[in-house]
Amino acid sequence: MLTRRELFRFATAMAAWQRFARLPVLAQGDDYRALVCVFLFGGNDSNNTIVPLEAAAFRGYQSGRGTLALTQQSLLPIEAQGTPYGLHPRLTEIQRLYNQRRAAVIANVGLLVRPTTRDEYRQRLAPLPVNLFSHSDQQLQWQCADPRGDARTGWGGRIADRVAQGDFAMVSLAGNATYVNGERVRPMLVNLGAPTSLTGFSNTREHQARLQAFLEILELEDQRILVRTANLRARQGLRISQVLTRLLTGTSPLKTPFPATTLGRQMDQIARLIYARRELAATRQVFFASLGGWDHHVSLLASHDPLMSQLNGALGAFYQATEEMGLADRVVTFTASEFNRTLNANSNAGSDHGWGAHHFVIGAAVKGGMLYGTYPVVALNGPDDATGRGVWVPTTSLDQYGATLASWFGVRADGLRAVFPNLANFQPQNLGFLD
Amino acid sequence: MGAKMKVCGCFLLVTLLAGARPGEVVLKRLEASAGSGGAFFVELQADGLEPGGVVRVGGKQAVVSEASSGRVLVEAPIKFTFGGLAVVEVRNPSGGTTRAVVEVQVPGSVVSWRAAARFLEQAAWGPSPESLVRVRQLGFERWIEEQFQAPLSDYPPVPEDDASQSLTPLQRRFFFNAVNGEDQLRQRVAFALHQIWVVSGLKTGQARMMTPYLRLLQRLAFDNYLTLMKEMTLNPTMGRYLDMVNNVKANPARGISPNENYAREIMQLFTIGTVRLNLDGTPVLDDDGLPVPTYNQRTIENLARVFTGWTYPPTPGRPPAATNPAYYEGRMVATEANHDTGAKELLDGYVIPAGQTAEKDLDDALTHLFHHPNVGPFVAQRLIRALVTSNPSPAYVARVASVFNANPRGVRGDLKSVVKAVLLDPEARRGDTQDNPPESGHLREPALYIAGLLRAMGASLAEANTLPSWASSMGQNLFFAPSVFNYYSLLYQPPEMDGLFAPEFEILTPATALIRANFADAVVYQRLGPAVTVDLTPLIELAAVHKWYLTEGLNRGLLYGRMDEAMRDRILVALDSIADPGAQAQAATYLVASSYRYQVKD
Repeated sequence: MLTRRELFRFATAMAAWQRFARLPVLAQGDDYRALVCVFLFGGNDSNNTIVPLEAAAFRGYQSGRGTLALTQQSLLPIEAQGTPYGLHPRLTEIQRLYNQRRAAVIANVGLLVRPTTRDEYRQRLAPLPVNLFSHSDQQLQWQCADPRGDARTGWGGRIADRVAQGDFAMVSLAGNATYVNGERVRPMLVNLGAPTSLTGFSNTREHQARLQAFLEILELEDQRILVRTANLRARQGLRISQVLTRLLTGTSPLKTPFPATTLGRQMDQIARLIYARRELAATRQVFFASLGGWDHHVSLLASHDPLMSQLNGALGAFYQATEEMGLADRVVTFTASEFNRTLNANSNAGSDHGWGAHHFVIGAAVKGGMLYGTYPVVALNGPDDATGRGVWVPTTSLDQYGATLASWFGVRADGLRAVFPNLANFQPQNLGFLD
Repeated sequence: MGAKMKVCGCFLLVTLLAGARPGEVVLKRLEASAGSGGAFFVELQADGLEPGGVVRVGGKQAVVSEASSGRVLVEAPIKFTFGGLAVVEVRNPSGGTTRAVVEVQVPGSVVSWRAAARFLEQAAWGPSPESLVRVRQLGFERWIEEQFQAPLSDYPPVPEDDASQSLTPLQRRFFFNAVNGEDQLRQRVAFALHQIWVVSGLKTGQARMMTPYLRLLQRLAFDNYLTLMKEMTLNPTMGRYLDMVNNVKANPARGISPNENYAREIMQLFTIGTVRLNLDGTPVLDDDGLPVPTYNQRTIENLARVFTGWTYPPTPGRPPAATNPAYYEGRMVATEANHDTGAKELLDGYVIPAGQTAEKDLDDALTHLFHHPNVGPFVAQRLIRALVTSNPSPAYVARVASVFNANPRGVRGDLKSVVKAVLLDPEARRGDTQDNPPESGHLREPALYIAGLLRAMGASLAEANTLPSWASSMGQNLFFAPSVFNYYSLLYQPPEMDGLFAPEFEILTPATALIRANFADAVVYQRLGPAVTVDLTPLIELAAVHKWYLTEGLNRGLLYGRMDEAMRDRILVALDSIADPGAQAQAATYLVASSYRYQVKD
């Protein structure tokens, strides 16, 4: 662990480097890469997202899930290294991409302090992430890659700190979440709907005269450093507002249609920004999108269905857009969520908070058509069940998941240790699902 | 009339001539002075004043309390002024009209209007017409003493039922208190302390949790820092936020150690910080020129052991247990069986002996921490940054830290004395009479910008307002700080500013910079909904006399008289395209309020 003195030296050196490296590094050719995080707030029920279809496993699934189980005929078949699985009936696009080897499944991933077994959990013999089943704590820990939930930067921001420059290095479509804040990088927050712009000015002579004066006052010389700096940022705000309005409203330059859903519109905006990457002087970008509503304590089957459909439509369209731009191997999309849900039902035909979950990674650079990690034994009180309700002790940590993505994005080994402080506790540090 | 006009100390005569008319009033003397109770008196002596003549102030008919031949005394509420300027109109029945602009004097005041305005930017949520007069009447020190006694503004009562635990009523009340409350200084200090001892609704987002915490800060803002440390440490909401509640001693057989969250943050963020400081706030450097850490991981672990064994207070009507269910009123209580009673080595070789109770351990640890030489400069820097300037000179910090270390009666940690020291220091007051150095001042954080602008405009604000969403869109979602590191880091240094501190700039993004201007637009063009009423009459009247007076009123009311001619010219040129005085008042106010010459206060 670094001493504070070493940290201080590092910080001073970093500060100097940052000042030097403010010019964007435009690499030869199109060395563009983007990571797109799609965060499912509420805790997606992964148990019905990817279902084991091998006979004994499926029986365990049916028996454990009871009324929450999907029927075998409804599931969309995929195969992972010879083992059959079924995707949720609405995930038609993801099934297609998986079969084209453009998508992969990362199984049973979650927050851990160190590798932990079921017995260690039950007997309290292992250090555990704080407040494991609390939405706010787990969302924070997923975004910070810190099982104490203390970090004030997110690993998305920390990745962008190391590899990306410019105003559009880190872009959030979902507000100022911790994920998008780095030590140095400030996220560009993009609203759905009209980008933030100056209001109150119409085309009347009076308004235009006032606007003129407003702009001129922003340009006035001022002795005070804080005033000058604020004016600079405000002028920058006006410029960016104009750019975003042009890029994000009206007809898209892309032909790929996006569904007009909450997530679909976010992915549309991301695609348009990627399209405009040269104008935005962006060579490496981290994007953050989100969809809420996954906290299915009540009526899981009926409520999960439309959200799965929305996820499928948005991710499918987005992949298509990256193909249209010729960037399918330059963009990796991955899902995240604060936890899985219990295998068994509660008294409201819903499922409660779980732990280890399954996620998708999508992109032409993904070594797809495979399942990475270890799918849990789906059985109540089975060897992977922490609590007896089918809450899976993760067998892959968030750190490994994130580090694999970060490494592809361009973060080097020493950077990975800084972005994911807990990574040293786990092997392998790269899960191998990206080229 | 294109010539510049100056308003001198007594009065300025502006006579509107539409050719020489019978019934024209000629003002011979015009004086205005502030009385008590939010009123001011205009006394005028005029020739040609006809019986039944009307004297109007601020565009509204004012009470004529005495009229005798040629001499009129009029009383009007202070809200009919802007920047200390009022418009007096005398209208004869036969039609002759005279208008004049007069500056309101405060008899016996040793404080100029500019100084009073600057002071209230620091010590209150900005000047309002009433508070401006009050400071001028009392002077700074007596005003501060009066503030120490002012009744506390409160938060709404906590609802019983689970469904009504939203923080929105608290957020709205915050702004209501800021604009209307008497205890301005207490509110500013409590808010500054909230940004040090952060608790965030992202984790403790119910009214039953936040209300006791906010009330505690409000109550302790003028108390002793050690009291604040103890009360905050035992506050159940803070306990929940930083995991101290139900934190139990280690269980080595199970590999369980006490939670270190609170131990780390109380040192790093609430009292001493990570590196040793000189009295003036600069870091102590070792022989290699590097800062010296204040504590290490061992200290954190041992302090975490100190903070073991505390649980929620018992819920009234339910029997106390070793681990009580969540309840947020009062202080956490100790369950000795869960407390680590071993000896603990803390900072700088100090050892808490074995065998003590949880409360004794806690008292000893907090008292020792309180006496660390860092606390004075740590608190001084943060209070100065919150109230006055982001970049105080080391000497300023040292003066305030010295008062923290020992007030005039030798007491350590007296917040009243520290606050006085912050506000009355020559460096805080320097800008009253001269220009400050270029690095001075700070950017108003969203809450201060919003409340300050409304107070400066004399706006009336109801409780059911939409101001919290404006603050949130500017990057300050009240009571929902992104982390324990506050809405913005108190140690933020903008990359463009070459080593200067400017914490509020951390949330000045391309988007929030525009939203700030949009807020000025909303204030001026009445887009804040029915809860806010902004009456621009005083400014409209000034504009009706001459647009120069409009700029001058805004200059005095919002910029302390430091509008330069370059800015004034831009505004005047824009006003040339606007015919109606009402529209002129709106446009000019927008231009000043949205400018960073207003938003950076200095």
